[in-house]
Amino acid sequence: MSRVERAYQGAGCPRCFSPIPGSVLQQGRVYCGTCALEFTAAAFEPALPRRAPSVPERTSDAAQCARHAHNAAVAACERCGAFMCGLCRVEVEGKALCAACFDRVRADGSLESTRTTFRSWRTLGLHLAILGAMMTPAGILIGPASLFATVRGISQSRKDGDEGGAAGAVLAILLGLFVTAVGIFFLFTMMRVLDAVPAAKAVRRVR
Amino acid sequence: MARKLLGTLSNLTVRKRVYLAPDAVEIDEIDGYTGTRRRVLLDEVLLVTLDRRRRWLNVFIWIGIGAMFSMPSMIMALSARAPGGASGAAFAVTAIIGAPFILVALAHLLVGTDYVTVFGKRTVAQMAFSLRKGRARSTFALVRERVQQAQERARTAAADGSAQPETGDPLRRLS
Repeated sequence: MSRVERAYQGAGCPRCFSPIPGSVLQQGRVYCGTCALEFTAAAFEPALPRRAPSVPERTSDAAQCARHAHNAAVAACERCGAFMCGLCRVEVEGKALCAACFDRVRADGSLESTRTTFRSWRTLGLHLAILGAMMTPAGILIGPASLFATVRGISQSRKDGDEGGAAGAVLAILLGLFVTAVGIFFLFTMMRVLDAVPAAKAVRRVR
Repeated sequence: MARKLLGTLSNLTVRKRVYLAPDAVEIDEIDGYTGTRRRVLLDEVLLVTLDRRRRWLNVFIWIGIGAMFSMPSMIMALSARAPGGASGAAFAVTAIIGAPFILVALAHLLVGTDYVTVFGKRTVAQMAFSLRKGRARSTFALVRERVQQAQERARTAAADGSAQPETGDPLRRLS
């Protein structure tokens, strides 16, 4: 956990993160008395959180929620089919799920919008390319691995809809291609040297 | 869902990439090869700030790199055994090699680093712009504008009562 999150106590100074009263932040130009930083501030007052949806009580002929017997069902879960009331209904990625199913699909990572961890393929690609540049004889192995990781990183970025920040990927691809080329060159040179050695011995033997 | 890269913030162990998504500022925190994604929802933003600081680490790193590359010629120039002409040439080489790094260190010292910070209710997004004052200002303005729009929409929705459950046949999905 970084220093920023550990110390986070709400709106305040952007350097020391000590809280500053809202009336001071509204002034626009703020001076932090704790760390002596002067900064420009744009303070906002978010709208109050939405009220929980009112749940219609069940009448005698209406279907009941599977978990709340007193509440009328408003929909059926699109995964398990259980009736659910307004409290249980979770709308995610265009589907209406019950709370239990939402927990399950979130846990197994099948809902893209609820995933919070991922593998950074672009970082791996760039690091492999740099490693390959330092160990050029192994470039024939490290170069393609770097290219694979970078291409996978680019497709990951496209999937996320990222715009900008392509310089690292371009650098990784160029470096990966260079490392692969040097690796191939090194391999062929070694093969030629190894081929040449018995021939030289044979020449000496003839003489 | 497109998201635009706003800026980054890095230290020796963690790199953060901050994106502007349609409804949130997203922070991809990359520690090693594992990333963690957090969001500061635009309609929950409390404060957006812009400030300028000096990152002394950057200054020392650039001076260090400059010293490292110009060290061999510097040693040669200061060597007692070097003849007069060679010593002068070595000094010139030292200056040529070291000057760009020293200039960058000076730029860091004079211009500093601009930070844009977005405070949400539960988390915070911060990005640093070294030597790019204009980019920092435009990012600050963009985030401020998007937050204003999002919060205006949220207020309108709350006033219209669109947060209320939908009317009509509640069991239409069951048929």
